[in-house]
Amino acid sequence: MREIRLRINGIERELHVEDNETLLEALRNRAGVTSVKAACWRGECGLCTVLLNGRPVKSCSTLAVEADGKTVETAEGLYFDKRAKGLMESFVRNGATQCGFCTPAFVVASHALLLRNPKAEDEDIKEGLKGLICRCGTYVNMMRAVKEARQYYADGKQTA
Amino acid sequence: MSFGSPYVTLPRFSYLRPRSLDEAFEALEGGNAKVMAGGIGLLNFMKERLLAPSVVIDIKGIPELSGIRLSGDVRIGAAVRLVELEENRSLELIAPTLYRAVRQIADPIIRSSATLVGDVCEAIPWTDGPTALAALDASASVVSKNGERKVKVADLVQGLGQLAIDENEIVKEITFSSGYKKGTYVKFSNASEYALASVAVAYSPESGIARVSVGSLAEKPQVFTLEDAGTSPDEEVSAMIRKVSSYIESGLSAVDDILGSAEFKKQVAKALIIKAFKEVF
Ligand SMILES: Cc1cc2nc3c(=O)[nH]c(=O)nc-3n(C[C@H](O)[C@H](O)[C@H](O)COP(=O)(O)OP(=O)(O)OC[C@H]3O[C@@H](n4cnc5c(N)ncnc54)[C@H](O)[C@@H]3O)c2cc1C
Ligand code: FES
Ligand code: FES
Repeated sequence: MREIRLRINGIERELHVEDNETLLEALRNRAGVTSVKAACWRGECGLCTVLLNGRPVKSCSTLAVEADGKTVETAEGLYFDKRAKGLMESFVRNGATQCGFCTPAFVVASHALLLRNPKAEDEDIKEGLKGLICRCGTYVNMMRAVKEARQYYADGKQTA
Repeated sequence: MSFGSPYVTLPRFSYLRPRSLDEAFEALEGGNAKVMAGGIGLLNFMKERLLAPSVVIDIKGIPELSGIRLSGDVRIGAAVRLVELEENRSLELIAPTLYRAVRQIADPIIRSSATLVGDVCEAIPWTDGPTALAALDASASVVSKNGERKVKVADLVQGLGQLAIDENEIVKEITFSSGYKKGTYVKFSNASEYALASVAVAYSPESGIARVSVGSLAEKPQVFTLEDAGTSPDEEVSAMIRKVSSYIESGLSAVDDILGSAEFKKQVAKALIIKAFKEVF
């Protein structure tokens, strides 16, 4: 066991983790962050995506120890970001979720995408979200939701 | 969540994050150790229990392995993640062949963890990095406590899981000439993101030499050179394409694999040649 310190959704946390534990396992089983989903466990579906120091990474393919000293953001925390909250509401308005299993990851990845490129067009959004899979196939509505949410990111300010 | 089952969780190991190459060499001396860069490939192999090292050496904290240099020869450190290459717009001008290949590897989220050197060291015949780097005639600097040696990237990947370095060696960086100012990378994939066939073209307008690398057909990228390629009238480009296509037909080897039959892969490669040459010349 090893102690790591990280800031999860703005809160300093100390977690005891095994060397062979993924960030996905640590977040779900030790930190109680359950919006981060486990599905393929091998980097293909993207449903375990979190922001690590502001960059989207697949937490099933990242070791927990690698997050030592870093910040982790997930859908739980993004709810308190004005822009991301707008994005989430846009998902709801556009019926961009069906069973909802993939939604937190798509929100995290779309948030990262819009922060970098608030003017994202269809092709940018397709490319940016290429690493995530929605088994319910809500892609068309998701495209509409992300485009509509561009208005919340237009001032170009970074997250707090 | 199930703990301890293969495909899902990782076998036990101790994690080390050396601060210098010397520290890393020392850790490798202990045996049964594996180097980890982005971990994208390594952790999957470990989950499948194809690899079970007792020590995992994370090389991302070693300063000598970071950084991209674009002046003189291009140099890319082993800890440089694909996203750093993608965000470097000067690389697009200096080495479009590599830049375009990088943009087609996996997806942007994988690319924010995975490294170019890791893509090479994984030694999978269908990966894009080695094919593009072979066209650029790139070399890898391989280091160990006994010193440093240079190996052509084209000779590094010998086949599935076969990398031509010793267990105590680390690839420190990749270098190539900045002369190949024109070029492209095109790939075709069907069921998986991996290329069923791919074509990299690296062209030096100064020398008139074009290097063509065809990936995925066989165990490793196959490279050939065209002298006096030049940006020429359409008829000449068509003649060049015909010549290269017949060379692919008769001069290159291809094997049946899980992505397609040898014959199908060759036909796809020929179609990719047309696309690539029309982009470059
Ligand atoms: C969903 C998915 C899609 C993918 N799609 C593509 C694709 O379209 N095209 C493509 O080319 N690839 C693709 N890949 C492969 C991926 O790009 C590679 O797994 C990744 O680039 C490996 O880099 P890494 O830094 O994560 O290496 P790691 O996983 O850390 O290492 C990979 C291997 O290389 C060794 N290694 C790493 N660095 C060094 C070094 N400096 N010296 C010696 N040995 C070293 C490790 O020991 C390990 O065996 C895909 C992977 C996934 C999971
Ligand atoms: S669970 Fe991480 S990518 Fe699928
Ligand atoms: S809404 Fe069900 S998986 Fe996407």
